[in-house]
Amino acid sequence: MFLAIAELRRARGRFALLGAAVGLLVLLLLFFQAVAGALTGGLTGAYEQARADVWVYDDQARLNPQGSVLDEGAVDAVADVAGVAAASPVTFTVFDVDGEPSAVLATDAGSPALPRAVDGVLEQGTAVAGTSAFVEGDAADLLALPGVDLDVAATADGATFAILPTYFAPRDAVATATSERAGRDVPLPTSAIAVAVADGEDATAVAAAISDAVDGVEAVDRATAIEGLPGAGTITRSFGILYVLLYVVVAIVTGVFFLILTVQKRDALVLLRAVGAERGDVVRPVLVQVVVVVGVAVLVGTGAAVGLLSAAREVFGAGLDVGTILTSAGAILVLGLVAGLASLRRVLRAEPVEAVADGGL
Amino acid sequence: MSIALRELLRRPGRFAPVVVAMSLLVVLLVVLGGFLDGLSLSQTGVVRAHEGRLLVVAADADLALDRSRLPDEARAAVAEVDGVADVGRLSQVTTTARPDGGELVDVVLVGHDLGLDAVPAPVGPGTAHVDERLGAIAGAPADAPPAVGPQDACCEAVGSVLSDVSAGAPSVWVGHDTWLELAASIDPTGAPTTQVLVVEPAAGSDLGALADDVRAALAGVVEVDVATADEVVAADEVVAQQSGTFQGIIGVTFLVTLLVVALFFVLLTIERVKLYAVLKAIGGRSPDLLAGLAAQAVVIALVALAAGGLLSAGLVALVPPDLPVVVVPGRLAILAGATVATAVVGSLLTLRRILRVDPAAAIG
Repeated sequence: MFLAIAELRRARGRFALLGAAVGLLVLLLLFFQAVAGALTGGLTGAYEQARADVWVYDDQARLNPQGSVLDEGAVDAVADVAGVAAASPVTFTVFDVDGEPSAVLATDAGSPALPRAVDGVLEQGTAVAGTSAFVEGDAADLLALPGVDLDVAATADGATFAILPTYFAPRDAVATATSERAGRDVPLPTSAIAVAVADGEDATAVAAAISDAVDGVEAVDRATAIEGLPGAGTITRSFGILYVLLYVVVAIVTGVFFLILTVQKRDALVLLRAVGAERGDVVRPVLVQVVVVVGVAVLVGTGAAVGLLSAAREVFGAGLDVGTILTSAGAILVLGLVAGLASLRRVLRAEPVEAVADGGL
Repeated sequence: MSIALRELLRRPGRFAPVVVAMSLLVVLLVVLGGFLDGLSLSQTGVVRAHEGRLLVVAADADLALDRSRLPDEARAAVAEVDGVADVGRLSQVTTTARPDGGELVDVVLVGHDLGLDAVPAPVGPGTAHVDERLGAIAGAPADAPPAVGPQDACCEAVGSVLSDVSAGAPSVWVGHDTWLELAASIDPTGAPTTQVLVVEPAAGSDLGALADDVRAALAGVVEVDVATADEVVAADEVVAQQSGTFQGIIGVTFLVTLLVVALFFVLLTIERVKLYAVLKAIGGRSPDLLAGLAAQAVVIALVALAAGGLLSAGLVALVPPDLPVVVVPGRLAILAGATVATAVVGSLLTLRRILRVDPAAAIG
């Protein structure tokens, strides 16, 4: 332990360079996770905040609510399936609100599609706004749709859809606005059905029962619906590739550094072994150095990431949760230790006898 | 410098660790650059296909094509303008398609009138030119009918188009009248109408003056913005935000590369302090030693670029076709130049240590 700390003090520059490299990689990793989280949250927040346990679409829609048009009788048919406590039609559409394209989800008062935080607030003549720091534009006090003005009675943090300012509005008001915009009577189609399952029922089983019982629909549980939203899966997989690359780079950089350091210290290690140091005595300092350098780098990188994300809160929102930070930090620390195994192998190969062998010390 | 290069040839194993680390950083940079270009190109393909033409967009749409709505009479008014060789409609909507025998996939349905370099003019009602990737993504034959929209309503595939003209998803190009019919079934609430007019300028026309004339001709019909394809792409806030984020991330990755190279050369210099003292004692100058290190850094960077390039090619080939990764030669050249420069700067961070080497140390 004494040797490990003494060397860290004596060769501050070298360890600081490694720490800075690992710290920056931690910063990148956490930044990626914040960007991916903010992007997917902006896309799927309305689903994550909704009370609905199951979502039902046209089976041709590929779980895309904006590509789904359900038959008129589908809502009643779904409501009749065993295990369904409530089923409510939802129409996903886009209007220009204050000059900005905004997602408008037309639904009923008490619909499972409404955000849990404002359940029951949607009354005639009012709307609920879904807000997110990542989505540009503040929620308006008045939702001005073509031919209809609705008071925004409540806001639900994080309940956004398609990375747009999002509003939940009564179906009759949206139907009026749709016809007004089209300049003729246009029936308001049902894009999807939000379903709350009865107490004690399994959402996946109820979804399967709905798909079996009702022709032309595909019902899925909430997690599957979120994963299936356009763009959500692509973002997750794209950033997944970057995470893997970053973890590999952290492991290689840490491993290479400690390997070179061990090779350079070989004579000193042989001498230590020759004067009686046990294998454990020469292995422990390396482990301590890996933990200290990578640990400090993780702390500094995390601090920098949290600071940067706080400064850019209006872009990335809450950014990171503690669980994500702890998981990433733990993974990098473990990877650092695993990467240090190569140098430990070299340390263990230092034999005391080499000190007095030909060409020895 | 020749000593430095000969050391690389004589003891390549000593430099292997930094080559491995840099190669992986090159892979990371290439993949990041691929996402940057892939996201940008895949979202703007429909617009970029109209380079050399003018796009007429409703003024309240802020140059966002899918938010623009133009009245039917606008096309005839623009056709009357001097310097307009031809004018056509252009509209797009996101939907799904199930190519015969394949899976359901997301597509962008594009309606157009005019032929392009990348997309032939529409053949007739019920026909489509289909993104070359669509079959591969859906797991269907390349010439399978795309079966677009909720009713699988369209179309016979009469040709393919490069995926370069996509818009966030593979594209299916149909005649604009067909598009209007399909869009009504895809989004019954949208009341589909022409989104944008495409103006083909007559030979020798000045685009700036023509844009003013088009704007003036539509003054009594609808307020519009008239812009080139480049201007429309530049106005896309989503693309600009994505590009800014990814460029920042690439910048930090270069900083990591700089630190890794600096770290390696610091370790190397510490190991060779006595040798440098000898070289200085027999007349070697600090700039010569630094030049040697810089030469080694250049070679290391070139080897890492070659190895990283090969690894990246393999990785990109394994990426599913629906992920937006596009490797652009121009971007590769920029990354390669920046990697070499970063390696040289990283190696020169040993400057202080090299200058401090005392020739007297050679004799103890």
